[in-house]
Amino acid sequence: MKKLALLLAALMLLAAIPASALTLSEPGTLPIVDEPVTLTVWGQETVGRDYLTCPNTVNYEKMTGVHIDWKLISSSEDQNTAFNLSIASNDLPDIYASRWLSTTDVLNCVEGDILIPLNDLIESDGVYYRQALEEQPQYVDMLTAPDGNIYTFMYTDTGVHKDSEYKMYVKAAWLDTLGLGMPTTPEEFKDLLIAIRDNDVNGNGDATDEIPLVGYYNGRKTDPICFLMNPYELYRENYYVITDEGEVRFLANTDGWREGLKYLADLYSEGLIDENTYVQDGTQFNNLLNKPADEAIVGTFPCWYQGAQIDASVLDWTDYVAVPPLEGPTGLRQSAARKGGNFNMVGAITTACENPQVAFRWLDWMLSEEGTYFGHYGLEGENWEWVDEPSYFGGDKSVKRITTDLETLWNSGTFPRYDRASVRYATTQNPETYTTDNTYVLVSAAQAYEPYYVWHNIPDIVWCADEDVVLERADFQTLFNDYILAMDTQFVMGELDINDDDAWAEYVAELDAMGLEDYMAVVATYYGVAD
Amino acid sequence: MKKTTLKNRAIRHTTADKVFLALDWIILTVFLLIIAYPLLFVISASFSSGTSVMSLSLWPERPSLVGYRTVFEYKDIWTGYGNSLFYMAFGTLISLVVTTMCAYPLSRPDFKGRGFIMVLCMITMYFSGGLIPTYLTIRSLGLLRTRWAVLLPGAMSVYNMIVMRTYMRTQIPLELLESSQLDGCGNIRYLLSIVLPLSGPIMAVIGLFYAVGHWNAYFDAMIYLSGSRGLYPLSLILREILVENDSTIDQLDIETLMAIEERRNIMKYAVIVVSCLPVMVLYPFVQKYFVKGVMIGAVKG
Amino acid sequence: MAQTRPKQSIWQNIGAELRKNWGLYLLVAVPVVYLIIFKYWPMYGVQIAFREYKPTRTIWGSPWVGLKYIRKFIEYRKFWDLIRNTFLISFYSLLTFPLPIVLALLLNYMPSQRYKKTVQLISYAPHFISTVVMVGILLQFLDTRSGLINVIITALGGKAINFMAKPQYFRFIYVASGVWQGVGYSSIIYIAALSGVSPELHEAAIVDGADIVKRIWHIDLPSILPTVAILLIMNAGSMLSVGYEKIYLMQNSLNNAVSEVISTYTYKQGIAASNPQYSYGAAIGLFISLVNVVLLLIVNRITGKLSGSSLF
Repeated sequence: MKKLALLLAALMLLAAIPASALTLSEPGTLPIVDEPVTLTVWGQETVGRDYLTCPNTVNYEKMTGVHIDWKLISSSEDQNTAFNLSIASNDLPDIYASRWLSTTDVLNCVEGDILIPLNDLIESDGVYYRQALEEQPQYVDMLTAPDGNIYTFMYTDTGVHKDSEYKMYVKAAWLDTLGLGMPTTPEEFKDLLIAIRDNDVNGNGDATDEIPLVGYYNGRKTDPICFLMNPYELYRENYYVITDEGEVRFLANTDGWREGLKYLADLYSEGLIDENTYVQDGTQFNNLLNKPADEAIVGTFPCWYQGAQIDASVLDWTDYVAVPPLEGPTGLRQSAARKGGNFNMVGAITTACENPQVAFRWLDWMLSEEGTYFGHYGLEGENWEWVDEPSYFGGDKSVKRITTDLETLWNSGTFPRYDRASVRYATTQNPETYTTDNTYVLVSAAQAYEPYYVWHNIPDIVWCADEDVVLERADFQTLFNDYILAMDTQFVMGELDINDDDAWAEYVAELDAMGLEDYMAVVATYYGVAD
Repeated sequence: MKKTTLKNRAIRHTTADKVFLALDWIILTVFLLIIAYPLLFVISASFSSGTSVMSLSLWPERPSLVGYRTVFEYKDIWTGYGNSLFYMAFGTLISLVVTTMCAYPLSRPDFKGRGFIMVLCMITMYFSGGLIPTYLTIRSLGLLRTRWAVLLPGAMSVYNMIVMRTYMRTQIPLELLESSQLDGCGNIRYLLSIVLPLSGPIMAVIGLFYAVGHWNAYFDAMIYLSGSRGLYPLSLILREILVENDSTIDQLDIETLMAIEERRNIMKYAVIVVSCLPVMVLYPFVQKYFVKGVMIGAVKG
Repeated sequence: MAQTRPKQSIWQNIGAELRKNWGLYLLVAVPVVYLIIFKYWPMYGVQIAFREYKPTRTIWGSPWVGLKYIRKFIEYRKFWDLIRNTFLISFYSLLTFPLPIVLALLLNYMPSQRYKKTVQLISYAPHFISTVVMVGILLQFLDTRSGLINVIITALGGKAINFMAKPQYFRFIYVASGVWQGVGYSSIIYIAALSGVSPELHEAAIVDGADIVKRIWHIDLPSILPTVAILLIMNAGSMLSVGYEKIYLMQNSLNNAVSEVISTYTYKQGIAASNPQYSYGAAIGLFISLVNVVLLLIVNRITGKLSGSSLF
């Protein structure tokens, strides 16, 4: 009898041992496994890069010992559709990459038992994940779902140029030609525009072909109002901000807003804002902008970053410089900015993954400092090297690329990253690079705006479990944004008279009638600042 | 011996006719110019370089072959071309066969089931299960990532079927049917030996519609062939180059954004010209079937 | 012989019919099977409009909410604006319906075969320009500075018109560019139909002294009437289905009031919420389909009465 019991016990012990025990290395070290493991990764292709063969893929496979089976969707496919089809059809990969997961995505996945909670793995294997959380404790709340679990990794970006995107650019050479300094008030800006309009600044004999200010519709911050409203009232997309005291403040119906519109309408009526600004598309705008020096006609234009519009074969990025925020009549000098850098949720492991520990480690290493270098520049020695020249970050040594970004790396947002400014700004600061490496123009513009930042306090990540609130907010947003944009454009173009008190009152009344109070209440609930 | 066409007979035109014909020439010429000008603009733009294509003159502003060169060096365009030709050829064949098999019976007034079948078809024109259920169906059939996923779901367009049915119903005289039935001809044989030869024009037209439809189609390929780049049709490759994808624009870093913009600017017009060639070449072959009365006369004789 | 036969049962009737026309039923079986597999099998998805569906749930597992989303759409503040805009754009497009017919007739009577074929070929080309490029070309042509239209206007002494800034021009521009792009391709079916007209009829008419206009009126038009009728009915049956892509590309903040249609609204909902609202989208789609079906039946009945030719 005893023998039988012993035999049974032994059998049970044997059964408890997992079928094939993979030996993993120490947490945080590479390679991760000593026998080949394959992980399926879902992602989206991007134009100009080849994920299957790029050096980062090849090198990372060698470094980790893990083979990647890519499941890539076309770059033209709507990512929302593709992601939802993937979930609905239950064809789950091991890892979801590329997608900047929204809280709704995660909540849906939790309900459908699609993703695994990472809490235990963070404790046991997440050397770099824990390090990131220790250095940035605010991340914990952002990553944790209402049920207390963390389901994703993070992607952060310390790029300062993204903190505030409401910028204006002016043609540097023309400031010199006109003998004017950088404008600091709306009046000075208007004088600059008048000077451009009336003088033959480009020297071709025709004083009428210069365009003082032009933008385009539906671009990224390419509407003049994005920059020129700020001296009078803060401008932010979606027309509201959360004050430092935690209140939702609506912007588009204040007296300051009206003053800003008056200023713009005044500029427009004097022909200082090009009439095509509100109807043309990016291609037409680029055609106006990218003319060789003696035919150049654009004086100033609004956008988030001038390189997005400049054709490098015709102009240099440094031809246009950023105009710092203007000081308004009441002393306002501001630009709406995000505090604390960019934060997104990227990288999740599914319940279909058979080697969650391996998958976790595979993603975790990317959060390390070495991983950050790898994501930004590639493999040291092969794709970049250290040179003894000062970097943007202020160090003595800097990074010099050997192979280009496009041919080496994955698109930045594809995989998790815990960004470090020291890594991001490690490239060589050298005036010769100002026209080939956009770091200089991005950083200098950001530095010009930084003293005037006003935090808009709208968080990147919002965990709102109430679906009705989420939908209501989205519905209101579409409704209000369309209306406000249409009305503001009409006021600026003079089709409605901004100085007519009745017209303004009608506009404000219509906003209320559309449900402004409810909208703001929903926004407050959504962002968790309701009282 | 020359066919006795209307043109060859000595037609004495009345003055009204002369006015009509003069107007005909004028209107068609004006029409031709209006259509052609923007097309010439596209062609001219395809031979220029870079962003500056605002000139009004039809001559390229900065003549260059960089657009075409980039297109030819872009490997995906070649696989896309081959795939599209494949899908167009076989897709059209399948579509024509299936559509005829539906249109012909429905065109017969003595086919008692035609009301029911017609309603069955029309319902599918208006009501659909939606993207996800259709995707799940295709998946259950095991067609994902196979060429069948592009060839089969679009096999029959009810719209085209109705047009074909209408033609067959009105252009194939009933006397032919009656006389053939007296001769003891079965339905299928009647279809093959009499109806099809008489249906030259409509087969040509519907065939063209399907061919063009299959050539331009990208959506099914995008959804069902996701990940199998080797099977992508040209239309999908074009879409990748030309269309700004709203759903991912924030996630793309600056380098990628600029690469997309650059590629689009260089290739935009060249790629359009190159992708239009097959369907443009196809049309003259189809035009042969539009000669007046050629079919009816031949069979009657 | 007995005058009244005993009534045959339904099944006997069906059996007789099947035996008589077995060839036809065999033929039609293939397309029917195709429809069942690819269209009817997924059709259970129609109920997404009535359920609270998420991709992580199955359709059957989604709670039933009845008319919630249909009501949401109808109660939407801009609902009637959307309907009006969609309908008007469709209606204006429908008014251009005769143009391909006119083109087909003009081509039909063009004496020079070569010229006819050339015009046909070239007019067929614009159809292949993708929407994105098409709108790009359109905006360039209407540009106030360098667009051809305004260059001509200023050359004639007028002042440049900012076309895209004026909402009153939007529908016209949309429809006119649609005609430019589609009239050649749409005329193909009529050219084919006209080529099926027996030449003997024309010869007889000429002998009788009919001129071209009379021949068009009495021979050509009646013979293509069934085709015209069918196409008209089917176009009417898609009145609320204006596609989003072209309008979305042509929209700007000034013409929003006339350019916002149902499909652009649905599309923007998807972007703003960053997650497509499947149930809401399905409800809107269902609503559009029902209205389209009603329009179809009405137009079908009218056209049938007027021309003798109808869909059913």
